[in-house]
Amino acid sequence: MRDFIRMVSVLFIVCGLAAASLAVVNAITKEPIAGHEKRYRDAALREVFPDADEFLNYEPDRVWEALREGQKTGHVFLTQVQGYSGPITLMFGTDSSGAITGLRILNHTETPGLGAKITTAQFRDQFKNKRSQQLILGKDDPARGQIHAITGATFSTRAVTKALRSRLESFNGEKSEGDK
Amino acid sequence: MSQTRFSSLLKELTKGFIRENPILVIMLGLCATLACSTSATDAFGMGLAFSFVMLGSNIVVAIIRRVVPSQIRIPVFITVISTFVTIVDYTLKAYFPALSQSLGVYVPLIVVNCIVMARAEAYSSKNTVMASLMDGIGMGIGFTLIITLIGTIREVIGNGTMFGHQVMPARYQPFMIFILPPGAFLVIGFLMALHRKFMITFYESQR
Repeated sequence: MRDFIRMVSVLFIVCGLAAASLAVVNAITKEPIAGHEKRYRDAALREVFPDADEFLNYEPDRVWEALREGQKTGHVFLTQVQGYSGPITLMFGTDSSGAITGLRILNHTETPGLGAKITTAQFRDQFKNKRSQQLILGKDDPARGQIHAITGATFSTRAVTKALRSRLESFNGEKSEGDK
Repeated sequence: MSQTRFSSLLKELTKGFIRENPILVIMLGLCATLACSTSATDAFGMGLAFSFVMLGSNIVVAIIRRVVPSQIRIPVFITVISTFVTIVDYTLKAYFPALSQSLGVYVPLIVVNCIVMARAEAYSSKNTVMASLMDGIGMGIGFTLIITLIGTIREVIGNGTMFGHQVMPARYQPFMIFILPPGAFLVIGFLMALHRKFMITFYESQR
């Protein structure tokens, strides 16, 4: 019985001290972490829609309305898609005509050196000014496809392209339904 | 007396570098070693994060080793280790967001890195605080040294860069396999073989 009480109290004290020290660390790092996340997101918003000067969160953390001098000029979307070795989180903007203004990969676990090249500017820039019907890989549909796949990473490229197209199509669908 | 004590402490420190290197000799926690060595920078960051956890858990375990009943030592050690890991994780997120992003899930996984647990169980739960501190620093340095070496080799051969700077001529066609998982096994295997060869000749010369 005495052993039992000793074990319980030692474990209790150790866990209490651990919790206390974690509470202190959490209190110190909470603000910098939240600040980084916000700054990271703001930087991403500005990058995918350089023309806008204000972003209104339209659907929490999924859709933003891009404003320029108070006028609505387009939308920014955050979406996630299954890549080759895990989810790819990406953000992209479209202007009011439906053309893409920019793309940024926020998070991915694609193969370094192959699929990970989806983050390079060379790959992302080819999406600029494309419309949803052009967002097909050239090798899948040579007539309409406008996107060049990365050598050795067709799967990752296709995932990103499809994510953009389906997100745009579903958004346009919602919009036209709203108009009816 | 103090002379021998000093030299024995120094021995505790240096044994982790090569002779009892956590990666090449103890061969524990290889998962993190393999996963976080695709580039020299990531590997070095992982090494530093690991060293901090190793040092902290070794010291605390050595301090509390007499009051913890042996039946519950494992849960106590795990609590101590995971506390340090969480501290490292939060600190990286707050002050080194880029590094935290690229190390990703592997920082929280230091909790289950067997080297930390093995040193707590096999060493610092049986030795003084001072010796455990030396052991922790030694293991940390040994781990950082080797994982950074692996990361550098893989990055140079597999991507033509070193710490993010181009070192190979532009015509160099990188061997992609070295930054893929099989490359990690190849590099680590060759390093272990070289280490064995070096150690055998070294010990024979000592005799």
